[in-house]
Amino acid sequence: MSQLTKNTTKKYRHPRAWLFGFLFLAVGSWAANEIAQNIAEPDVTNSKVVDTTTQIPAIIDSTPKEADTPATPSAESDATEDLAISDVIEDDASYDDGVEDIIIESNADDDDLEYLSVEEIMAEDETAELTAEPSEETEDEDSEFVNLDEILYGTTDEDEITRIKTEEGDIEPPTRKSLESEMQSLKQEVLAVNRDLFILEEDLLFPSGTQVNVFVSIDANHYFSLDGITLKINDRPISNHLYTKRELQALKRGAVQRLYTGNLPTGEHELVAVITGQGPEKRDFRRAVSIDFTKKTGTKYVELKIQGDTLRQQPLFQLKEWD
Amino acid sequence: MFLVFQVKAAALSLLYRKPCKLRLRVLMLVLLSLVLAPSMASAKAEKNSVRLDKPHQVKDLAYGEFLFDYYQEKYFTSISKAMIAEKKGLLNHHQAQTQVLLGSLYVGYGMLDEAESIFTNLLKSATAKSVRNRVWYHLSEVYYKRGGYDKTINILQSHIKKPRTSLKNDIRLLLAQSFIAKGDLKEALVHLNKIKSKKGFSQFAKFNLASAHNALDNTEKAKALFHEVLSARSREKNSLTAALKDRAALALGSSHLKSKDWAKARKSFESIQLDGPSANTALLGLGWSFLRNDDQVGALAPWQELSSRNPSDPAVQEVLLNLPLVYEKAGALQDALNGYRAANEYYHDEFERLNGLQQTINESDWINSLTPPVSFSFDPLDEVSRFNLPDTELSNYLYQFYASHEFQESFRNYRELQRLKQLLNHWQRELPVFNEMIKSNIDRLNMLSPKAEAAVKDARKLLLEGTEKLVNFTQRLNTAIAKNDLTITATDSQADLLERLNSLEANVAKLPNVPDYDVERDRFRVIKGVLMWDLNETSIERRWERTKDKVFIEGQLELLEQRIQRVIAARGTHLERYDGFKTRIAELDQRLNQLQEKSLRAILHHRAYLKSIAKNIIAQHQQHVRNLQANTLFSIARLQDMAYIQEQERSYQADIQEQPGEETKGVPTTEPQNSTPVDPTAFPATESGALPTTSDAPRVPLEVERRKSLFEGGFKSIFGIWD
Repeated sequence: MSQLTKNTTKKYRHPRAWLFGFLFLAVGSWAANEIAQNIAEPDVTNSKVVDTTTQIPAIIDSTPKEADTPATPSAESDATEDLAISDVIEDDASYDDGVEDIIIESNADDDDLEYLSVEEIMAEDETAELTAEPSEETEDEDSEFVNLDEILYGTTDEDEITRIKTEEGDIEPPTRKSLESEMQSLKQEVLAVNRDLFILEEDLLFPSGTQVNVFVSIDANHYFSLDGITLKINDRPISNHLYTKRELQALKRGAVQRLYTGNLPTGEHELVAVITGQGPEKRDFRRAVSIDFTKKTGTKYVELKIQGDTLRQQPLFQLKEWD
Repeated sequence: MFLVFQVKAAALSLLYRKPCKLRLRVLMLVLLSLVLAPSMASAKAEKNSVRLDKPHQVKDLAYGEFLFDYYQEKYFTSISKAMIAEKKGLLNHHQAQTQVLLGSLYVGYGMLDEAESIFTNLLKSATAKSVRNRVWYHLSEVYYKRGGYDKTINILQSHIKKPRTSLKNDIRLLLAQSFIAKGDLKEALVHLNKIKSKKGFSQFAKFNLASAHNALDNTEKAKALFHEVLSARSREKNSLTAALKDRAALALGSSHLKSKDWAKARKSFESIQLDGPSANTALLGLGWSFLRNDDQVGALAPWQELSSRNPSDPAVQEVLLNLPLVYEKAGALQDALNGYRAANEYYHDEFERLNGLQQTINESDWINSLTPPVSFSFDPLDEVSRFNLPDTELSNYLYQFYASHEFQESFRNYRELQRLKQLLNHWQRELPVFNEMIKSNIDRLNMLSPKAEAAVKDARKLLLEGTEKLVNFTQRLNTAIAKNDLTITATDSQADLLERLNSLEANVAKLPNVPDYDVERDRFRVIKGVLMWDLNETSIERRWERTKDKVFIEGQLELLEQRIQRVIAARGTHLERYDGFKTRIAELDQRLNQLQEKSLRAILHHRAYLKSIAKNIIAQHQQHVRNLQANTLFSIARLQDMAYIQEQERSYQADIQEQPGEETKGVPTTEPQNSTPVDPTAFPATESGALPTTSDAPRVPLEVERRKSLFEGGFKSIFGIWD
């Protein structure tokens, strides 16, 4: 055996050498991936928020979960498991003070459950970014539209407005039928362009490769009355929604609410939903559920299902992935 | 895996309690009831059901999301979401349901043709027959109210199959009304005659039925129905039911007037509220019922009351002429003359005022004054604030127009156009932002480009080295496996030991071949044997591990290669994507510009349309005033002429008395010297009371009689009565 062969043999047969080699390749691979991600994802710092929820731009630039998130044992063990949600774990003692403790429901074994105290959650909520639904017409917007001429004629140029008004005098009054026909055609075109603009906006803000949506549905009968939901992805608050009576009515009739739309890089992520409301017998109720999911290249849909467990006379919360 | 839960029926009353916001919300309610029928609250979900009127599972998130806005009455948003979901192909299971609900929203949005097309294709599969019939009926009602009589007839006759009896009568009535509106009275009569029972008819429907009979000169049937409306006991006593009864009483009174049944007409008019919307016309009719019954005094009371009311009302305007007529008939000729003169003056002023109002309508800000901008919204289907009657002089003449369906419809369209314009303005302001976003992203790509290139270079170097080492390792591994070389799978300690043994072997070989060294040689053999045995024991497992390692490294290298390719391609891919966005933005910008132009044109058309109607109404008022003024002038002239004739008569009689033997030869050949009007009150009432009686006729000269005939007939009242 030649010297060269000997050295090589020594190097490669040594397990540490292999480990270093693997590590080297892994780090290199991750670095390349990171660069690719940075280039592939849009610059969300320039993004506008169109949804009612607040976008967390940092999420898109965050490193994958395994690299910077202190993963819980459950998260690690769940990575390859089926994502079914475990049963609700109840704490009878929590009834003492009338407020139920928060229990993180996950798909891991009991040993892996993460227990959060109410104080902890409250403290988090206080520091969490509030993502109150922005009012549709802010003062600024109102002030923009007080000029009727600008709305009608699309300009503030006096000469142009005068010209249009002069033209107006020459217009022959149309018949009712032609007016209706003109209106219908115009509305159809406006609806079509409105749709295309919405799609364009969504494509720009939330490319399908990074888009994540969280939906909420309720089918809990009288077991639960929802007050609000806080969403966190990778331990960062992303949405905080308080429900109006109208929204609740709509949800109770079978509608589904899109609670959050945002961007996430591909990889493993954890979604936590903290649900507040009133449980059976009007008790204040606070419960959290979590799910570990893998963001692949397509759009990701996760649904928070609030259901009634008739057997246990309790609400049941589940986070479910949709393909 | 589907989202499985039932579409719930809870809190239905919410929608029914709320006042209607959109035109013909009734259709929406019908369709809402499809998914919200109270009976289904406890029903179990049916698998694969596509019927809206039955509990069904929400299998598409996009459908559930559409319902979220639909139930909250955010109709424009729900339309947008449904259209987006449809375009993106997200409605795999609920295409039909969404389309049908979208159709109902289109009705609310005034896109009737679109709605009809959807209903024609999908309603059959999405709903039960009874619901379907109701939907079609309400759609035809919308068409009827918009003047689309042919469409109404077509829908009623071709889409509704085997309706229930109550709906059947409604359909016949609507058909009859449509034919009446079209002028096809014969066909209308056929449908009216088919209505045998009025069971289930609301008071409004009965009123409409009576009006239809009235229009077809079925006076007796009409009267009977109006009577029914009048005598109906309503549980709720509100302004609406009171107004309906007033209308019925007014129609009945008018009908009695036509048939010269003065007492019944009087009774009907007297039952109308004194401060209701029909009060003025009723007071006018009441006066006529007295006057035509030769009760001038009786006519005075209602007409004097009427004369004190808002003079812009046509009935009040007419009564200004009627009052002097009563005085005239009662022989108070001076009062009559004064009344006529006052009326003439008023009509003249009124005509001038109406001319001024025409100018006001011509001014561009007339419609703007009706549409305060504070209630603007980005949602074109959002609630339009209730129309408040502007506190202007014009409102006195246009209030009926403002209350009409035609105006309300046009006004709503106009407001919607304003909002559409607002929406278009909003998007047009957004497009530069989109362009800015794309520019930022491209800038970022450019900024990252050198970094990416450096990273690619490093990664390639790494890949090359890694590949080289992997190849070497693979070769060695393969060779070792082929030669059954156990050393390749040695652990660190084993490798050290093996190395030491290899170096020892040479030393052992150098030992002299004497028995004294047999022990060392045996020990060396034993140690080596043990080591080789040890290596051999774990070699298979370790070979497998090494092979696994090799595969893993291969995978990592492959991944690295892919990532490198991704980074290389990323810039091009994204630039291409952003170019696509730019193209889309440019195309949308163009469409927006075209729509801005179209919407402005539509707004101007609406303004022209509303103005033309308002001007026509004012012109009709002017015509009415002109007619009244002409009649007033005729009346004045009649009184003056009467005085002249009487004067002539008097001189004629005097001449006869002076020349008793001379017979009357003919008419005077010249006009009287003094043509100044003579005060009629200066003459005794017995001679100059009213119009000359027939007994006077032979004594009146022929030419004067011919002139007098010019003033006979009086004028036509708004009740169609000639006097």
